Amino acid sequence: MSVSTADKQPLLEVRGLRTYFHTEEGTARAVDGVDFVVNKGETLGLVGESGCGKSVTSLSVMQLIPKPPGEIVEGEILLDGDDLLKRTDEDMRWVRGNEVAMIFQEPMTALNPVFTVGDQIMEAVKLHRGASNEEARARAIEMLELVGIPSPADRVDEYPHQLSGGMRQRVMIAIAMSCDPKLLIADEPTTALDVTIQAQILKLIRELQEQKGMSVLLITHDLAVVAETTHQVAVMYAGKVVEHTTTERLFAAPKHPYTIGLFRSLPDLVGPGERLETIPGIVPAPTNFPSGCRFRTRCPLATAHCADEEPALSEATPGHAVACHYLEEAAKL
Amino acid sequence: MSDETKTLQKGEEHLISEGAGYSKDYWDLVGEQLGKRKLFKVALWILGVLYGLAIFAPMIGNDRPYKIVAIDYGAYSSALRSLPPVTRSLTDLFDETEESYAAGRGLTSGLDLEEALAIEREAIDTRLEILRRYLPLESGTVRFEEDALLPFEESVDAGVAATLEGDRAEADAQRGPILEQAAQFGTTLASSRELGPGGGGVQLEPHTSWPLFASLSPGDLYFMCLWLLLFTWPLWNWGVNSYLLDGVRESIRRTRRWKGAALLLLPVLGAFAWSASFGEGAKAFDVGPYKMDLTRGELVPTEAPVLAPISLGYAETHTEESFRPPTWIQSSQLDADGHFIHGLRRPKPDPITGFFPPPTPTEVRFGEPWPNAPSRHLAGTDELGRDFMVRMLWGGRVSLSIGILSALLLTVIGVIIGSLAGFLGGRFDMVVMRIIEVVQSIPAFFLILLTMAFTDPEVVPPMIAIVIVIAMIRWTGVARLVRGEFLRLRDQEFVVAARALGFGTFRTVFRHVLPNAMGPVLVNAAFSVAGGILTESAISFLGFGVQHPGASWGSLIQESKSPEHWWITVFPGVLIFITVTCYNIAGDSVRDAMDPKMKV
Repeated sequence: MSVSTADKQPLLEVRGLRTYFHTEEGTARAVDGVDFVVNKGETLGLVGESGCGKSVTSLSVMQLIPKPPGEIVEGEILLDGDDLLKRTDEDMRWVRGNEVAMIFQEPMTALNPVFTVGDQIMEAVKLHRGASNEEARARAIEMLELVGIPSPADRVDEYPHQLSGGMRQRVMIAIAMSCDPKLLIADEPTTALDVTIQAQILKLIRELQEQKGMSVLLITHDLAVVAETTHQVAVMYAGKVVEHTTTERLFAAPKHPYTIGLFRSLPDLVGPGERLETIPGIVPAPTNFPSGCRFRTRCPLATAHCADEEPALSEATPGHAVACHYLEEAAKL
Repeated sequence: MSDETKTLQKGEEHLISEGAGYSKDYWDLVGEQLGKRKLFKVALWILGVLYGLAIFAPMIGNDRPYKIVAIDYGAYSSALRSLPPVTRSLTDLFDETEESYAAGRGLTSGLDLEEALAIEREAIDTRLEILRRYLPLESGTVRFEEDALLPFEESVDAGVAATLEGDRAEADAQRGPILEQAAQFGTTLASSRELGPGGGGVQLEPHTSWPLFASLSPGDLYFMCLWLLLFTWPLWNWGVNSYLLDGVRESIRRTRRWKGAALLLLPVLGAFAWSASFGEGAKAFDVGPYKMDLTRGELVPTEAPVLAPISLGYAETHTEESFRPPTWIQSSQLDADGHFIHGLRRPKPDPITGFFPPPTPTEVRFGEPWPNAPSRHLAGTDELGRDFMVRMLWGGRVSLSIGILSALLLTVIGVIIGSLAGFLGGRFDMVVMRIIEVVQSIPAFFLILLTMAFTDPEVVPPMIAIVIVIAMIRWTGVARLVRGEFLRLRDQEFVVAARALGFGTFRTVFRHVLPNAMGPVLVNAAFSVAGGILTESAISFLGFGVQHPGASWGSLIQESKSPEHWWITVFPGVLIFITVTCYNIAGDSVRDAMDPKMKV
């Protein structure tokens, strides 16, 4: 996959985002200083293992963090240079669905079981576009056709339980796309689907993106999905972005010890069967992150310096930002 | 789109089309499931019939005739007889001025002269109206022009006007002719029946009236139309779907809510049309004078009156038939003296005097079956000899409507409070749950009894009071249910998805979450109806509920506790049992049918 280097205007810039959850066990710093950029017309993959704060980041962008206990402590979320965190609730409601739309992991539960799929598309169109019933219905059928659902004029009156998982995810995409958003946030859209359907859904997202020129923030823990779909990647670990670059560069030469570890733990289909490498240890609890670099407890290169000073996310080479003190040593791993 | 994708999609489509009913939606499936349950259908039919009987009670058990063409000699002659004295009390006021009347009137009367005159004038009008109703204006043995009453009316009006203006001379001048005319009417207008054969007199004309219809209220009529519409609904539905909508599935689906609205609104239009044409309406269902007058011969029908199937009023007494068992039973047979022929209640001679108890022959009023006819009192009578069948018909109106109203009210209260508590959570939820626990910890039945004991039936009708009290205490169950459903649904992805589409809190709660929680609520409502009916019965049984002469199934059971009067307990008890059982069966079936796992 080639990354177009021309016309790289940022659409969504997240800077220093911190989202904390104030629980009885203490403050969980689920997202603790996240920076990334989604360019116009591009897909950014937000990668990381479970519990690293990917989903909280996406919900923070939408400002759908349950308050209390959640709270966006600080940071900037710039959409077209306009800070979403400074908007009123009313404005934010307009942004949701209209400028930024979202699709979810579980197509089984993300559709309302008591309404037809048509109703669910029509409702968003009517709310945001002020369309009449007939217009909204025509739009719903058009959207269902766009996402590749056969005989959309019939399916528009069906209920979610009458559709298969893949179909439901297509409907979710249709609902999200119905108001032509600039940014589509896809929170693990293929995790709950089987592999053949996964491929179709990813392909559909890619096609729609090219067709409509929108940006996509794809959240996943699957490096194969990243390789297939994204232009840029941000790797998250324990509430922070540790590496942010183009997909091409990341797959050619990962620079952060964590990313290197992730690639090592992928099964190698070429050689004879070998024991898979793993990253030792477990992800630290968000209420109790280690001092300094958060990966130091599991990192083969960790020194006392890592505990004292937290490495900043900075460009190691142009267009390739990494947060690590020991890049030369990591390159030899 | 690539070929690969297309083939895969075909695979998906294949999967779906093999699944349950491709073109059926959720409600079709629920309906289909319900249709498979015979017990549910039977329960629904029984409930439908019971509600039908209750709604149509005024048309089934009523002492008023549907239609009667008759001459009311009693009313006519009493109007004629009372005209001179009423006229005199009007003309007596001609002597008064505003000041003298104010000075002379009693302390309790707040009327001034003008009001007093108006009252007397109205009394005359009432009588004139009755006279005009039966006077033959165009035919008859004595040709009589309406003008004969007109000069009298004109003189009366002139006298009243003169008195009000203080023109004593003019008032005095009118007094003579007025009194003279009023006295003359006694002889010139006397009916031929009163004067006897050969005595001449006026041959009166029969008047047609619709006493039963005139005493129906628009509300009664609304429910009658609604019931008829619902009972024939499959027919209407089929007609509308296949002819008006040409059987197009999409339009059938879209018109669903319009049909619902029509179902509720059409009867309203019917009721309004009716009240415009009859106008009297909304009369309390007391016992009308028609049957007694017919029996005494004061009301003489010229053609057979159309009577209700059971021509007995719900408060019409037959004291000589006190506690008579159902008349189709042998032990209910009476002899001519009104004594029981068979069984334990056969009269015995007094042990001391040797005399038999005095005879109290059964009175058979106009249109009633003979004393020993099996259909006379199908369910026996109560202490005052009121027909128990008619009382149960009318009592069902109270019992069944209390059930529905209380369930409706408690469901609405519970859903609102429960959904807010469940969705908002936090402190609001905490406070609401504590309140619910407090309410639930109070012994509900005693609270209801206490409230009923302190409620003035004059201010709040017992029926309304019972509904409110039941709802105020029983809403907690629904609130907990809805809250639980909301807690389950709140964190489901479709709720987040709804908010991610920019929907506000209100829309999310009431449009997206609430319909998902409605299944258990509906089932609970069905059980609440049964609970409401039982509670009302218990309250009325203890004497705190519906008061005489009103009736509900519970208050009817209370009429006698003697095992000798078994019909008093058995019949209303069986009705309560049937209704409650049917509601429970219906609730159970709906719960099963709405369970998504049942749909295969």
